Amino acid sequence: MAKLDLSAHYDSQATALAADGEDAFAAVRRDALARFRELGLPSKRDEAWRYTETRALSRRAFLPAALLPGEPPTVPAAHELLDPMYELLIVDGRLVRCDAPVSLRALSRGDAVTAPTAQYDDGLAALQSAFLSDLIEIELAPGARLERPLLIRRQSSSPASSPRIACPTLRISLGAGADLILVEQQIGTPGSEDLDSVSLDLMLADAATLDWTRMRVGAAAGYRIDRCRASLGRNSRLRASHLDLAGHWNRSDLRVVLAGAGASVALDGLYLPQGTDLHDHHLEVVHAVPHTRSAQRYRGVLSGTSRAVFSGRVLIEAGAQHADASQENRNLLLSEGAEVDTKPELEIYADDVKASHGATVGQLDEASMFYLLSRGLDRETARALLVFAFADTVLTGLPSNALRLYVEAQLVAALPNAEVLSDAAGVRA
Amino acid sequence: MLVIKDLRVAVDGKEILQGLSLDLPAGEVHAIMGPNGSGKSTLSQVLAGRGDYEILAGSVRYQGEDLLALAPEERAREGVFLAFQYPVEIPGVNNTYLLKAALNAKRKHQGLAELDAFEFLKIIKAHAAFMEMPADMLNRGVNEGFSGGEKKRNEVLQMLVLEPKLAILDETDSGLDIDALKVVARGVESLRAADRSILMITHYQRLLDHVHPDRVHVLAGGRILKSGGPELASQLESRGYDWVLEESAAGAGA
Repeated sequence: MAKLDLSAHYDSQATALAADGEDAFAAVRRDALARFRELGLPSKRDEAWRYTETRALSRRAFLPAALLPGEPPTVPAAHELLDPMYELLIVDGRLVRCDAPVSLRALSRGDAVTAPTAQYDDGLAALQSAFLSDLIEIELAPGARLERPLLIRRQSSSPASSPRIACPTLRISLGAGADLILVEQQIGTPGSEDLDSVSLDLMLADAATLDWTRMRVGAAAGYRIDRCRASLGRNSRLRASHLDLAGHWNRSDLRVVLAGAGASVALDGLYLPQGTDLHDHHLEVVHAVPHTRSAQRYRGVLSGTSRAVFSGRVLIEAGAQHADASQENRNLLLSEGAEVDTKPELEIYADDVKASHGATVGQLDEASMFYLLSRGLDRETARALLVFAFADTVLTGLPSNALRLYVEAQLVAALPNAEVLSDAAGVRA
Repeated sequence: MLVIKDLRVAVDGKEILQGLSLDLPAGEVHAIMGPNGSGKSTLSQVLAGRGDYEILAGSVRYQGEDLLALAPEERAREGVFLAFQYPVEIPGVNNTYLLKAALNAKRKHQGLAELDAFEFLKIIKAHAAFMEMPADMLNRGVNEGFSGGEKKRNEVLQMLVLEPKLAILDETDSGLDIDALKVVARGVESLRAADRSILMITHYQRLLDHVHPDRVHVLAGGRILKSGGPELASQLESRGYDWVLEESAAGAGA
């Protein structure tokens, strides 16, 4: 394939976008595009991308979804999640529908606002801003509590002739003492090779509580990159489950700053790359003040010739005494061709802290396998049982049983041979 | 039921069982006693079908069939059950689910219909009550966070549910307090039947005070050195193993 001149391609797209009418994001775009020209796409020379294959991105000339004519198509509201939820639907990076009693501001091209300038970690982040589509701000008033979880669904419309780049930005802020259950569902569209690049800012004021589940489900094609920054105030709590149940190329960057005393964060993650999938999680947790807690628990099950990357950095800053940080990353390799690069990292500048970390990469435990066989289970069932149980362990934190059942059904669909389990929900202890 | 002839087994190139022979008829309860390192656990693992043992020579017939030719799961479905010395913990796999999957695997093999949830729960609840196991233990992960005694009870519970033809108990009495020992012994005793054989492998006489064996064998150096009636167990308890070893050495020298 001929080498693409990406800068020229995206320059011409930006020119087309500007000619289409000046909009609120024009200044941000110009600045971001200039940065992209300098930085280019990240490569293995960049520490944060050392194990992440980006060549596929450099071979595709994505068209900005913001440029595409007409309104995005309507997508049916019905979803298979069993809980009743408020729903916000984003298609091709643009807000299509909002059915939730939240204060919501959705800014599209043409809205007269001053978009903030951002610092870009890398060229992809700059590109994200260069083709920013919608900016969606959700605000929960102090003390507010939604009756139902808020579901944010994201997906592509039917596959376009050229792959699109969709770049929405979401900002969610919770006022003091506010309480929200957020479920983000990214649904792959069969045949779509779109690049879905999302930026999410989470701001938790004092004593706010956020329970956040993000899951990627559906068809495996396409590229998905999520960047999230969360800032936690005094005594606020964030619990998150990041579930890569499907996806050909998934990258997640998550940075959590524990900015107020008493703040705590618990991050659970699960990734199940199969075939030639790549699932990549980059986490950074910063303990900036005393009396803060963080816990990371990520597990991966890899099959085929898939790859996974886990990079978890915990930084305890000087003066952040009595911080309590734990980190665990466990990986199960089901085939010889699968590969995981795991890098737990603890950086501690305070002297009175409690911190632990550990990473494992292995195969199914032989002793457990023999135990199940000795009880008469066939090999396939025993194997499926052990793999399911390994993955299911990180689902204990999900906010409702209905959600867990839904995720488990996805898990059974994603794990090799898991359908032999007669009743997957009955497996779990 | 079980006939072992001149069995020689190696682990990592080292010969552990050095010509072991044993005849366990149907309806009988036998005890195998022996000092540490005599090959007791190797015997139980080989009978259950653990893969990392090398069979050098000899034969094991179970109900007239070549037991060693069967995969571990086939042995289980044919009625062989091993109560492990160190049962593994399997977090995330529900204890009840495992019991149900195991029982249904066996029933399927026998050409019987799978039990529905209601019938199954009735069976398991009755056995759990008999083993004095609280209901919540059934819904925990397999042996997850169980004490040593709880793990052994759970092994016997599985045995009661699966109703094996050949039950092998590998040091099931070790690590039990006296109350737990009585419960476990009651469970084993309740299995005694004309068409079932029980092989108790143990280091001590303790379990044998509660479950009376028909025969007692002394295993040392990978062979059965001496066999006798129940009185042999008490002799071993009071005199230790050395005299058997000496007697055997003298016999070999003569």
